[in-house]
Amino acid sequence: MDNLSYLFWAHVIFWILLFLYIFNLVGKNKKLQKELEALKNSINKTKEEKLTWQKQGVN
Amino acid sequence: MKLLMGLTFVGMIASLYMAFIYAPTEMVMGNIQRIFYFHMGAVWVATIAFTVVFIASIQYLRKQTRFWDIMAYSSAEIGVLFTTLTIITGSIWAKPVWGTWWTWDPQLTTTFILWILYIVYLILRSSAGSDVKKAKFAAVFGIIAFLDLPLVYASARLMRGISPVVFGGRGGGIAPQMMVALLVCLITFTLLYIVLLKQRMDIEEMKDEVTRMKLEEAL
Repeated sequence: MDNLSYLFWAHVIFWILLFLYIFNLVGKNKKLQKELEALKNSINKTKEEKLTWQKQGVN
Repeated sequence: MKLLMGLTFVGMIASLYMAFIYAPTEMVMGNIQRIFYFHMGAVWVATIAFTVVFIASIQYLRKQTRFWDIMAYSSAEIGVLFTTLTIITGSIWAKPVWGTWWTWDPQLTTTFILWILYIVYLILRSSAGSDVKKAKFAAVFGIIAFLDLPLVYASARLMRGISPVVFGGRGGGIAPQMMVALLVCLITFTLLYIVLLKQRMDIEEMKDEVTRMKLEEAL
């Protein structure tokens, strides 16, 4: 290998590892955002159902 | 945050330009020396990251707030990534220059120890979960592990190794254009570290929020 190929491979490995880490972070972030949204909806739905039951109980 | 991300992106393009086009070719090593700009960037981020682990761990032990714990854990992860990049790029540089991928030079050895120490820290911290006692133990380990960092820098200057010293000491310094290219890289890598740390801390905060909401849903 000449000097340029060492330089090339150093950068290839550097950027691959860095992008893998960044994509991993973005993936985790998106997954957690979806999970949070689903949990918020679920909690709101439960609260609404409880309110409906309470109203029906009063009537 | 978007502005910071944009600045980091522009900085990375500028760093590549500075490293490959602006900086002159080193007379003895030739083009292989151009690894140095990104290698030093990785060294710089690892240094900041482990210093942040040290400060955040002390703060966590003092104030016992989750914020500092998250900061230390997140920073350690980034530090390990950039130490890995340091070791890999350094190794690729060493092969044509020293004729070997690796040698047990004092600076390389202390860097390797630093890398192992923070991998152990990450294992300890991830196994602790929400256990405060284990998190405190990990924080103490994070503080002790940091003691190796000054040794990495001192070893190149005080011990008889083959690692080049760029700044001060027995180092011959570098050409002004090379120094400008290096400074651009260091500023960009600092921005990259801030962006990564913020993103990593956000993930830990979201995990906490998910746990809290799951509890709320169960009640």
